[in-house]
Amino acid sequence: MILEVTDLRKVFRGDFVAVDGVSFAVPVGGSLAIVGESGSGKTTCARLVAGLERATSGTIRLGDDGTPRARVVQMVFQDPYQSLDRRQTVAACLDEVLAFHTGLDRAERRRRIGELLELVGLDQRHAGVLPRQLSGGQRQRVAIARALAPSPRLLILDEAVAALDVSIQAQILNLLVDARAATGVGYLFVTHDLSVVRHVCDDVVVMRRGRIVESGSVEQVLGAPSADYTKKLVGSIPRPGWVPVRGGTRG
Amino acid sequence: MTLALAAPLRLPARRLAALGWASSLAGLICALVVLIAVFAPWIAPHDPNAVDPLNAYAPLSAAHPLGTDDLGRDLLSRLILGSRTSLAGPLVVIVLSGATGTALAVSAAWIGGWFDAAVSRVLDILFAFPGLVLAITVAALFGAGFLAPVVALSLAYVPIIARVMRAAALRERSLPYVEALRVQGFSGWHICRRHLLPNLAPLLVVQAAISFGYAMIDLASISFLGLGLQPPAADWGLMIANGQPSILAGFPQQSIAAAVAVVITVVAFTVVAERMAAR
Amino acid sequence: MTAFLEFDHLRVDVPTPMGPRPVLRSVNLAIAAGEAVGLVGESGSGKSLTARSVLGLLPGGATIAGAVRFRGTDIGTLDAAGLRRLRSREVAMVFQDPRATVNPVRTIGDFLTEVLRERGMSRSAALALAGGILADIGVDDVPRRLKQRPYELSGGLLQRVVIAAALAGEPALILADEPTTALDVTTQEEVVAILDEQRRQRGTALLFISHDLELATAVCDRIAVMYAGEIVEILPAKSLHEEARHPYTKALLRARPGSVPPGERLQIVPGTPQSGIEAPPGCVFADRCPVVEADCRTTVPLLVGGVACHLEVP
Repeated sequence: MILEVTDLRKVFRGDFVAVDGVSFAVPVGGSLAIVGESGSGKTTCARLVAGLERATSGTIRLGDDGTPRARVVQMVFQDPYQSLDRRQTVAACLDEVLAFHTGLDRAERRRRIGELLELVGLDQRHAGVLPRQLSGGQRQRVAIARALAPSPRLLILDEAVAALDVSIQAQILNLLVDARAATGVGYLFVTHDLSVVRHVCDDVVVMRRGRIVESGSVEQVLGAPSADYTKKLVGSIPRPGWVPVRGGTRG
Repeated sequence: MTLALAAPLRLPARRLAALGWASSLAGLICALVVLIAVFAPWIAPHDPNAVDPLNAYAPLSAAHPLGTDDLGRDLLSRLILGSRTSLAGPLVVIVLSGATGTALAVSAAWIGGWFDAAVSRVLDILFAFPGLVLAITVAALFGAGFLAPVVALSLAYVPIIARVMRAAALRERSLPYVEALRVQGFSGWHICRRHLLPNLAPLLVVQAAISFGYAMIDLASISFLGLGLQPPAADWGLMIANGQPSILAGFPQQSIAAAVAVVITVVAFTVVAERMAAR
Repeated sequence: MTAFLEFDHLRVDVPTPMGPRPVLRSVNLAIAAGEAVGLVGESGSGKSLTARSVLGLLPGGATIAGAVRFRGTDIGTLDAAGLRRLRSREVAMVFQDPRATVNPVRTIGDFLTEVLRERGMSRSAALALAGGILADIGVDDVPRRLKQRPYELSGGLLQRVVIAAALAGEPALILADEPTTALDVTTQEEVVAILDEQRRQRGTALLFISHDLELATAVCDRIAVMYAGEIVEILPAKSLHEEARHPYTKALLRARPGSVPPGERLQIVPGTPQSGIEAPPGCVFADRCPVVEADCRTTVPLLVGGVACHLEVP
């Protein structure tokens, strides 16, 4: 397992329980989705794993102990317009990370930047430009390249395709499938979009109000949900032939 | 569409054009004043401190384009030389208060919690003191001159800069790119120095430029009150004060010339600052 | 016979540093009374602007060519009073973010009755009517809700209030601009179900703007697909999946992750969505089209038989 979370609990400001007794695991090179609606605690889980928040109790085990967290787990954020430093060129952004995490010299770093850009479907023309000269999709590619730069073994994707147009979302999803095949990186995919989960994830955890409602393989949980809430969630996804129903109660 | 529409909708063309020539002129004046200050000894037609009692209160002439003062010193030369201390004073004030204010603001915003609360309270207390009163008190305690009022005024300007910078630093800190850098494992020091500060720099420059005008007026007031530079130094504030008796004697050139120099410089710097802020 | 709502070669230019450029190129669409039409497309397609043009809400400095006619009246010819009347009585608009729509310091009751009171209805009658609509759309504890303020309500509940306010004015047309994008998916189902049910009962026409093809299909009779300031295809919602002919519509349908077995590559459209400002002079989709031909880059295809594509014309 590259990530093992056991009995995780996070309480904000003394009384708001955002995450309550949550356990899940991601195998090496695996892909786990955490799905849920706003207030479910899914994003808090991601931030706890990334080290952006401190857990109130419970344990998070990341790979082999001793490796710095940043070289095991990296994160891609939702908003491609604000997740890059607006004054830093694409190459400078990647170079900063490589210089920090690797012992590569300048020429080697430049070569590695080229490789990373190619991996995310960009090229040298994009190396010297500032984020504002890139489209939302291109920025998200840069954010993914930056996250992959330290060669992490787990990538947290926090609604990483939610803000993108449908045609761009498809490009990024293909990129994520390819990057996983090429690098063996595992994914922790935090999302509200079940069709994205079906496409890129092996396992899924359904959260509601800080607790896990249901978990298992994607096929099993989304194909034949057992919890009422999962049924409601699956049933409310617009799809061909879908008719919205008030109350949202269906069998 | 959002992106494409945002650019043309930002400022009406009319206002932009109006701002255009005014700020170009203001920029030109700022550059000119700075150049005069730098090359003052070579530009000044006479020795600014050369006393010539026989020539006191000389009218405007080719030899003395602005006339002379009560001691027969050439007013144009004194105005030119006076630009040095008149610009250096506010410059030191904005550099000192800018550096201190930004350092306090960024560390308060980054560390947060009790440190932020403590810094904010201290700034509030400092803010309650009128800058001029603080500077006058310090000058009265430590003696008049260049340094004491400038340091005191710098202290008084710290909360002004720090409040704006802290709000901006908090906003900047909450952007996802900062979290991305934290996930990368970078230290707070690295993130503040390499990312936060460069992104806050344009705002700091604007704040400093706006404060420059205020500092210049405050320092001129202190000089006017006799707590700044002492005679026979050539300084615009001091010249306004020294010109007082001459006004009664019917020779207002000295006070008017110095006052006009202060007003033009302050307006020019402020217009340039506003223009930068608008961008 | 005049159409209920008609976009007739509507073109909107906005000022840019390079001079005026079109954000809407030539929008042609007729909507019948009581009909629901979905306007779908990606960012820059001009779908929001198309809806806003019905109320005369265009960006500053924009110039219009062509016309938007509501019940035969050209919106562009209305004076301020006429526009106000149109906005308050005939057409209601529901925006994406309910929190930005509702005055945060007034009560829900005030918000719901504002338009009715403006028309001279008494406070008690207006409250009774608004309360009735809230109850109709499944809001519980109505008397308490009317006294609450926006921050006390969840986003989903607040959007239902906004829809109730739109319905209270008994408009003939509702413009809904991504009304559920800010909501959770289970709440979205509830809200669109209410919108669908109420407008059917009242015979209200609906222009439903969405980036989600499936969602629009579920609540609309017809779907108009927009790209770069033009409608590239119009077709009945029921036959969207089977009968889509425009390469862009097909690409949108295939881009959704559900369209292929899990793990397989999605079929993608290269490039990024363009606005009317950036799109090429011929067919707006020519730059990204997988089946583009030389003719497409120079000649604008007309919207004939529901599709604007050279390759679809016999």
